[in-house]
Amino acid sequence: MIPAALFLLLAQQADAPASASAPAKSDPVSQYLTDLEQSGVLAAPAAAPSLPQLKETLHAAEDDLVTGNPEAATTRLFRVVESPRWSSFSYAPEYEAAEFTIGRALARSGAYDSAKRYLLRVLGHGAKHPYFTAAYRMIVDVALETREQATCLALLEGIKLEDPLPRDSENERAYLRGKVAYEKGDLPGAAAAFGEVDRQSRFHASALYFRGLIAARQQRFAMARRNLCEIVEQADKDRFSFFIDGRYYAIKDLAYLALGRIAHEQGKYDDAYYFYFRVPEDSERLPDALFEAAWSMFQKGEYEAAGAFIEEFDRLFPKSPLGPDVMLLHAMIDLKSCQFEKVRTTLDQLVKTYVPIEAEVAALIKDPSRRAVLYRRLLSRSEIGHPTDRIVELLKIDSRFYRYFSYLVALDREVGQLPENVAVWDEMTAKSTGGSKGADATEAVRLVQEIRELQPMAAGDPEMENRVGLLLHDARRAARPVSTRGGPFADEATQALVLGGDAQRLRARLVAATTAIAEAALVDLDNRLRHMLVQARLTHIDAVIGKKKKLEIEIANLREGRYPAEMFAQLQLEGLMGDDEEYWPFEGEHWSDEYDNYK
Amino acid sequence: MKHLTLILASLLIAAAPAHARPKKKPRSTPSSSSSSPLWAPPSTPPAPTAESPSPATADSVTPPTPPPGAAAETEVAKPAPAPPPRALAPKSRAATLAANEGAANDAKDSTAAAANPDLERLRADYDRLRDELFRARSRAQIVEEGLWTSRLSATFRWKGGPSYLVHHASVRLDGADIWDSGDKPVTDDLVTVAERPVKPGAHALTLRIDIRPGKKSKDSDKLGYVSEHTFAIIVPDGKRTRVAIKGDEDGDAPEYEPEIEVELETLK
Repeated sequence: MIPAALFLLLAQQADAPASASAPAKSDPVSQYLTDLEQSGVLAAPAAAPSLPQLKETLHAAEDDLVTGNPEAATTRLFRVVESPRWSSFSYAPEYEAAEFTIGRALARSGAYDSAKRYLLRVLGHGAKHPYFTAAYRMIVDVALETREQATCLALLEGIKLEDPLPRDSENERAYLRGKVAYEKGDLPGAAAAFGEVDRQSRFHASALYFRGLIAARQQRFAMARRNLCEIVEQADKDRFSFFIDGRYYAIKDLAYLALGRIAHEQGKYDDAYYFYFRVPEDSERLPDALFEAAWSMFQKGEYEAAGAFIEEFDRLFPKSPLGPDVMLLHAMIDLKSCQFEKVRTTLDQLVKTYVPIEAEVAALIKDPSRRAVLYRRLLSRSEIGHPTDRIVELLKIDSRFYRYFSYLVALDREVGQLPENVAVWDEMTAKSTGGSKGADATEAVRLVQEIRELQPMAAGDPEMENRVGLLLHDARRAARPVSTRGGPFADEATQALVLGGDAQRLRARLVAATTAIAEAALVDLDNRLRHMLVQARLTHIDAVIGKKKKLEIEIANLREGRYPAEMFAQLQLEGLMGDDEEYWPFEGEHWSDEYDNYK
Repeated sequence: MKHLTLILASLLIAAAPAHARPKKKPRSTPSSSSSSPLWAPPSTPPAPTAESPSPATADSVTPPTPPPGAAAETEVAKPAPAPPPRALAPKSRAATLAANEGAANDAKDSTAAAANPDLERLRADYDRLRDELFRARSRAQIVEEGLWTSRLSATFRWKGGPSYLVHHASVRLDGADIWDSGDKPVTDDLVTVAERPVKPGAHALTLRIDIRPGKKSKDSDKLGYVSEHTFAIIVPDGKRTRVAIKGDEDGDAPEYEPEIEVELETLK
């Protein structure tokens, strides 16, 4: 029997159960390996399988995995966990470790469905087996990464176990249940599930955070505060209060921010100040904390404190998307401090800076060809040597944009390896049919080379990249030697090429999705800037009215013989000074330039 | 009374020489006893602990959202207060809170943002296709083991740290990625590209490194370079070939002196 055809048949059969709740009963790779060995393509190892050999293979695969070579680990372990020669060792913990490691390697490579198949095999051994807990965690990680939380929860809940679930796995399941309920909008159910996550769980802090969010959404602010405070500060000061890992500190920053927002919402501005103040300087939440702290202080009437936060913001984040909001708040603080000239200066600056940007954004929205340029700049934001773009800096881009862009990159990487795969199958065919006749497709090969030269020119323009990719895909199909288009391994090569075509089509959809996200951000920026400029005009009017009123009061006071406080003090002191003395005006107690390190 | 005021003022002026500019206060950590709450956090954290008042009573209070500048002073002797600013109505932060709901760092972005079914379907299609691509590649790699007896492995060590750091690195063989640092930082540890079967003959091995200055400075995020080197190598039939690449950087940003060294070793 032709091995490749058999494999294809088996693979097609196995694809359906892979996505269903039950793991596949037949292992296509197992049959495939056996066929390859029987047909002599793969040489069967001379030595009989042994436990030391298994340990050695496992060790090498783990090395591959930690050095960033998950594909090498996968290839190595496939020949263990899928070969009937090794099935007699299925009792050994090392064999189970091999199953778990291949699951990890597959998940690391982005082959989540295949990873789940092996992880479920590990779980199928029973809850008392050594890799059960780790495999359970891995499936939860896959669920969170792929966002297929409901599917993975159903998979986990479908496992029939004789022994009770370990405590750690119960925590994992409770957290996953909480997430599924939360996304369905079942807030009480989610709160109850998150409440089951105990202090030993790696998700304890995350579960507390979600409980805080749920309470806040239900307007139960004290409850929300209590949950969030438990993340940031333990009442018993116990160093071993609950399990934390690298994720904890990001959650802690979020918790402080959430506490600040709740306090602000309740009108407790001092509390809000305290919580915002606790967001550390190296946190990525610091811009939000500073801006919102300034707002809280402004609301409380502490204009100097609000100004200090704003100045700190300006110093640390001059290119923040919150730039126009900060400038406007600056003007409002000056307005409340009766510094009307400063208000005018700030607002003039705001209008001068953002009116051209708003016009540019509006033009971009109307012109799709110009949007492509912006899209390119957006993607190259983190690259060296690209000029800064004010519009790109101001955009509040949804994190999904970068997530989907990372899919594009991963897909391109996978597609880049397809020619090599096709070459392998063509080589196999050529071997079995007595050599390839490459001259049949010389023109097409030259075309492939020419299209490949186009690729660097298309780089950065996703749509052009797509067109070049599709052209290259077609040229590669045409360039395959005619002699390898039939034969025992031709179907494998054809399937690889079909996958390449599928990848190109998916790529086009990903480009469309990322473009839509970028466009939504552009429209949002346009709305924000328009709103901001309207608010700036209103504040300007307020400043003019305020200045007029101030002058009116001063004139009225002067008419009645009352000097303004600053003039009175100055005149009084100048009257007491000698000719050789100089008046030095009162500078107050607030040496704001001295307090730049107030944190 | 007028005389007394004058005497006091004279005394004050006499105590401080008029020509001497007052010395500024030394830079110090502000104390909590300061009259202004500006420079220090409240001395006692206001965060309620588990022993806080019962949530039932506290939760029943509807949070106020006062307008900005609601309390305008009206004293006559003082300069006129600014009219309450009409701009920027305070945002309800409960809504803002919800924007972070997925940020408990278990997933990559907010759950609220992920509600778009088209995008979710796209994500599922992507996962499925990537799985299929990976399986196709694994099958080819398994066959490669039996097809070719020549083996190729590579190592890379960066010696330019800590002055220059590798932001991202990747290794390609004949244009196809065989190793990528991904999001992980590349340290001065030896990077190993696993041994793989390759067709004997000429190949192109490409190293791409993105280098950034290690020292944080004002412009450090704008400095650095991307360097891509492609080396033509010949893999002998039936032998193991090991390519050792070393990278170094002796320049002082923004001046660069990149140096790449390649050694080829053929083993039986």
